[in-house]
Amino acid sequence: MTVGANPCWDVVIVGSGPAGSAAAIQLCERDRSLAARTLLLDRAQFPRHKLCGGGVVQRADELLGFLGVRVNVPSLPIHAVKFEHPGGTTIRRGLDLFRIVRREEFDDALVQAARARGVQTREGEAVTALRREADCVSIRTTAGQYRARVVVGADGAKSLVRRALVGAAAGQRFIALEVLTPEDPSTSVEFTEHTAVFDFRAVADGLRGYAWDFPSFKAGAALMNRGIGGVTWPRDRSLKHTLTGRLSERGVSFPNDDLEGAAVPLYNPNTSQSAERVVLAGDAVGVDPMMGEGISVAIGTGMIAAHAVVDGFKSGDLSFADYGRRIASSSIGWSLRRNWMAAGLFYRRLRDGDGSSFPESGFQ
Amino acid sequence: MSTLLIHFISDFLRDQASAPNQFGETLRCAVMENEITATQNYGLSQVQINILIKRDRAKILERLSEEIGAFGDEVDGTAPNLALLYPAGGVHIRKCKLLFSNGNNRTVEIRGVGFEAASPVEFAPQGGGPVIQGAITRRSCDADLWQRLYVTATLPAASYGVTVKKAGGAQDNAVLDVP
Repeated sequence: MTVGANPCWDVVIVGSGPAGSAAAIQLCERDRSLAARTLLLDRAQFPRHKLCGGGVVQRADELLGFLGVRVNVPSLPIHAVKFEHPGGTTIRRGLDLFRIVRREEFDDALVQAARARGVQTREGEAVTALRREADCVSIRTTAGQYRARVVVGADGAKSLVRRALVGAAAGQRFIALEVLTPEDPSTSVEFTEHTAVFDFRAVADGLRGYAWDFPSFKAGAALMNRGIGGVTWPRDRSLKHTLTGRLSERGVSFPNDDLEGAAVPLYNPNTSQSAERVVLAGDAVGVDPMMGEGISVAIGTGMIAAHAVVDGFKSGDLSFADYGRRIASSSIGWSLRRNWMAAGLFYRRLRDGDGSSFPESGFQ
Repeated sequence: MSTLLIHFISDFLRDQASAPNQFGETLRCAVMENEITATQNYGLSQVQINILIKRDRAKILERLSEEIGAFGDEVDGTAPNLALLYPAGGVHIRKCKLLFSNGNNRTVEIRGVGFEAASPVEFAPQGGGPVIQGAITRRSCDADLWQRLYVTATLPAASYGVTVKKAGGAQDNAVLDVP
């Protein structure tokens, strides 16, 4: 970093969610000297609330293991998954299929891991404008102005970095609605049997998506994360209509104000993910096109972004022209591309009542 | 080692032909040159190749649907799983090759995802005989997030079915020829 009134950082990471933190940590792993020259910025103060089911799949923990990070926050391990679908119900069992965390705790732990490695962080500072200049990117925030040789855009589904420097995301969005309801953990089967519910029954009515019940704890209190997410749905049955109908089936009511919503882009291999001096990561890249899973994608694309940045510094080429290919040919991109192509067929089969998509054994 | 038709098609379609040396360009050129050889080299089965070269849209869709419906990385449906639905933690072997030999003491490199530090690795002689356990000496993750396992085992010259397992029952298989 150049010392002065308007210092130039090597890397400014916009967004301190899992993608931004993973990028920061991976940068330090590749080149320790980058820690002092990397700035992690977020508009929120951590820990901050985040709308999310909180499902941390094994792939996410595997990637964190390679980063040398163990995110030891309260979590509820899932040992059974119940699929409700137009063809019936299927239950799969297995030890630690995935774990459910509260995102405010999980994300905060990752920011702390980045900070522990020497990365400087600024919280409560929103980026308001970005401009590419000849030898850097200038970043204006609510608290000041920065310059960076490279910007990592990990600023979520509505990424300002994407809009300002890369171009709009093409393709579809996964719309999610979610509500937290109090539960009695001693009687709720989801808590006693560590079960997550994926409900695809509304696919028969035209929803391309699913509803879920994820058990979780927040500050010791048992809460059920109940939500619905989809890409498309029938005009006469909104997501909210389907969710409230499903919850009233279960005897659950909630104040309207408690319902929260978010829209995240689905990964599309044909969408630009980079530009001169800019790479994107996390929800700014897109989530899994089949299920909307985003945490492992965020960590993975954060790591890929960091590798691309270090390689760019080494070669002197900061065009990042091959960054989309990097993502697509990675192990994360391999499954994203597969699911991008498979999603349509999968939901068509389900809509036709074919439950064979849910064999009872072999959960991986 | 399994290869889904959908992998082939997504690799084939990726990127614009006008951008030289991009991902997928090599595959497209190889297919244009000789589609049988290219699809065989890619790892497609004869059934998949036959379906592809007939250019029958319905049959191709049916095959894709079968593969996805079986919910697995396994074309033959031997180990249906949820990897497509929720990328929880399947095992996938992408490549398996003999790295070093010191007599029958071999070091094998396995590339893929979902490997655990203590993943059991087994070598089953394809001609029959007892299964040989491998010992993992190193596990690493490349910049493209594909993982590497380095495994040592005493393997006389033969063809082996290599299996990498994971706690919870997930596994994948590959073939290794030891000359």
